[in-house]
Amino acid sequence: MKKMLFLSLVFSVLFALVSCDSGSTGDFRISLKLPTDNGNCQDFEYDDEMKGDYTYCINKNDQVLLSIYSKSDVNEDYVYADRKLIRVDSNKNGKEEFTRSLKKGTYYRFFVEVTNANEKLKMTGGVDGIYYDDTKNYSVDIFLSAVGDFTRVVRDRTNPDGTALESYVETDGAKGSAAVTLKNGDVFMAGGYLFDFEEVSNKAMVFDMAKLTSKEVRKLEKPLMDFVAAFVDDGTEKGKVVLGLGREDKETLNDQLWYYNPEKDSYNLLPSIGAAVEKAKAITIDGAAYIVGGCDSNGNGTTGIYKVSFVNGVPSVEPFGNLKVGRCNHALADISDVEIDENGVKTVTPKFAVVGGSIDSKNEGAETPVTGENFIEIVSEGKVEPLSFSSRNGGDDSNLMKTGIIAPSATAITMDDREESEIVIAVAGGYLRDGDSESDYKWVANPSMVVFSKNSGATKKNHKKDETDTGDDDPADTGDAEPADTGDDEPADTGDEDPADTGDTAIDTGDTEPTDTGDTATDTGDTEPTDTGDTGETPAPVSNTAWVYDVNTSPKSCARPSMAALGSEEKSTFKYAVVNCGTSKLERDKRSISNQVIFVLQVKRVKDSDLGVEVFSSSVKDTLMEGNVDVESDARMADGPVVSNGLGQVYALGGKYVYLVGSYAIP
Amino acid sequence: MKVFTKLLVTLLVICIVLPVYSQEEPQPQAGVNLKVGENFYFEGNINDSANDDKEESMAEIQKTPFYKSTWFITTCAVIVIAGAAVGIYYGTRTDEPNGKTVEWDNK
Repeated sequence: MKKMLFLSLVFSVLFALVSCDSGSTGDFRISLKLPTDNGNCQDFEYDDEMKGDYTYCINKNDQVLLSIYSKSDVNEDYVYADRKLIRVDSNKNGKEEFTRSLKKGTYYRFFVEVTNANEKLKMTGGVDGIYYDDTKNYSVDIFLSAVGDFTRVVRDRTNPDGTALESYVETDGAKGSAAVTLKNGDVFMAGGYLFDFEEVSNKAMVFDMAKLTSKEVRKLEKPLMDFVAAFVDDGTEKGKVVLGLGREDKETLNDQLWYYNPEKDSYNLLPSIGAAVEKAKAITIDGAAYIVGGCDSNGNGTTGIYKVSFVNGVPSVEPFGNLKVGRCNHALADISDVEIDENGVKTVTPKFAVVGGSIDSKNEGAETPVTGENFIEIVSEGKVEPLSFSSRNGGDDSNLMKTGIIAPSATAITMDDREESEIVIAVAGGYLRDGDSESDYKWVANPSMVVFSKNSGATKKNHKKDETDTGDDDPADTGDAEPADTGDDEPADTGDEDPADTGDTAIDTGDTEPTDTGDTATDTGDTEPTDTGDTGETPAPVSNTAWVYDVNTSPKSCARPSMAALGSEEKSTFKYAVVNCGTSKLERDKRSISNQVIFVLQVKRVKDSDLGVEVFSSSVKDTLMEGNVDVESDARMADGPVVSNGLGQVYALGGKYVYLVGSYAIP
Repeated sequence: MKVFTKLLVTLLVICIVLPVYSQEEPQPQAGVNLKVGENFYFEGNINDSANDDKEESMAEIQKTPFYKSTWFITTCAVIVIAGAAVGIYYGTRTDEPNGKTVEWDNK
């Protein structure tokens, strides 16, 4: 009897232990983390919608849409898998099952959109690269940020100071640091001159955006500032970071390149490009990094362009071309040709624009800007050409080719509101010489936002006049042989039909988007003398150039900003980019640091019906953050990087905290 | 639920360990062996019967260890059945206990 009892008890214990284990794996919990607010979320009443701002809340009658994307191979593109729409019935909290099962051995991406009762998109967030294995449990945090606006990333909104995602940069911030988004959505940040310690840093850090934690990783092989860093896809889960060049200290420039392996937390030396340069730039296109220019130890701009890639796991550094004008302090924008065949296979032909900069590296205000026809150069495989451009009336009303812009920010934005997508280049900030003569000028932070686009309108109109159409023969034509669609009948056309408008550089096109929160950009005024609207004659030739630009004034001047495109809604007439502004002063010393200013650039198509040309105008989107700064923060900075991830979310770094700008949609 | 299961497991362990280790070594029998037909005399005061009852009662208790007691067996049986039920419930469940959830807190 005793033995029977004993055996049955042992059996029961084992059974219970097995049962404890059998159901405890495969769980996947997603916790939505909200931005810090004034604590009134739970007091929300439906009638209050109009009374207060509940953007940072998930309230009763809101909807939470969780979209799930998956891929079985880390090197494939994500495909849509499932979605769950949750109707919120409480102001306090919520918990819902979002799917019955996830597939073992699959990579997942989750994207969350929160809309209010009026279906206005309030917040978005997401995580990438989660490898699901049903023998483990998962707990993932998704930080939601206001759409088209920035918020400080925090793990617990009730304790923002204690749980904010912090970098190695202290209160006084940094200059010349760099950051890269890894393939799994983590963010790598390194180097820079730290004002608190008054030294160039060799610190490096990885921000885990699925856990909302930061971790210092292996230090750089050398302290570096004004160096290059770019992501390179080697087929692994996280990819690699190519970094190097830049300044080690006041006297020394670095000529070495490494790649950082986030899985092994190690740096491996790459073949040298043979020159020590600083203020070079790097860009990632189709998994390869391109390093462009830089100024050498004599202060002279260099022309070299190098491609860094991994082939079968082996890194290579190879020359990709030479700029026509050696430069540093420039900006890069990816304008690659992308083709997708009927089988969905994507082919990317790398092409990028090199914008502005200086031909030398001296103290601020003593540099020589890149001017003339080489202000923008277009780089593609085996070809480097200056970009021919003009303002809409065929001139150069903003004197871009005369003054140049040093240290601008730039990004390419794909406008897909028409049947054929087109790429425009948005440029903001930087500094330039303001004055008409060579002797009478002053250096100012560039207050303008410029959008360059292909001169489709002019080309089409001038076809009728035949002899004026030189666009196809222009050496700067970047290869788009497609006839431009000016789309006069297009409903998305926000064109200004006002006959009184005589073609200002920055025309007010009237904002028709219901969700638009208002432009704050100001009209730059009548800088163009051309009045072609009321003569009844054929409009003057708009341009014989391949590209045309439009200028608007920014409410914030940024001396050394960085910019990245924000994920925008497909087919929308409005597209967005994020500018990490930094200080408005030219100097980069401790006295010049300022609060971290972040704003969102809104780009839209406008039509100048008088000149028969379409341009793209830009404005600054309103923010919930007073003065475009985090008023709760005491942190400051000089300049810092901005990075985007596969979800179209943009992170602004360079200061003590990490800020996230919520995207409108996955690109 | 896991806490509850762990509690059950702990109780089960106690149920196993205690009976096993609470068994005492058999003690040599003390007293006088009597055979049928033998005479014996009881020496002492007949009024000491109360003490005899007490000893007899103690002997009864010593004869029946607690792990053989009804209450203990009943308790263990209940625990065994509950443990088995929990085990069967979780062992035969086809989906995960907590599943794939998304949650938030507005506080």
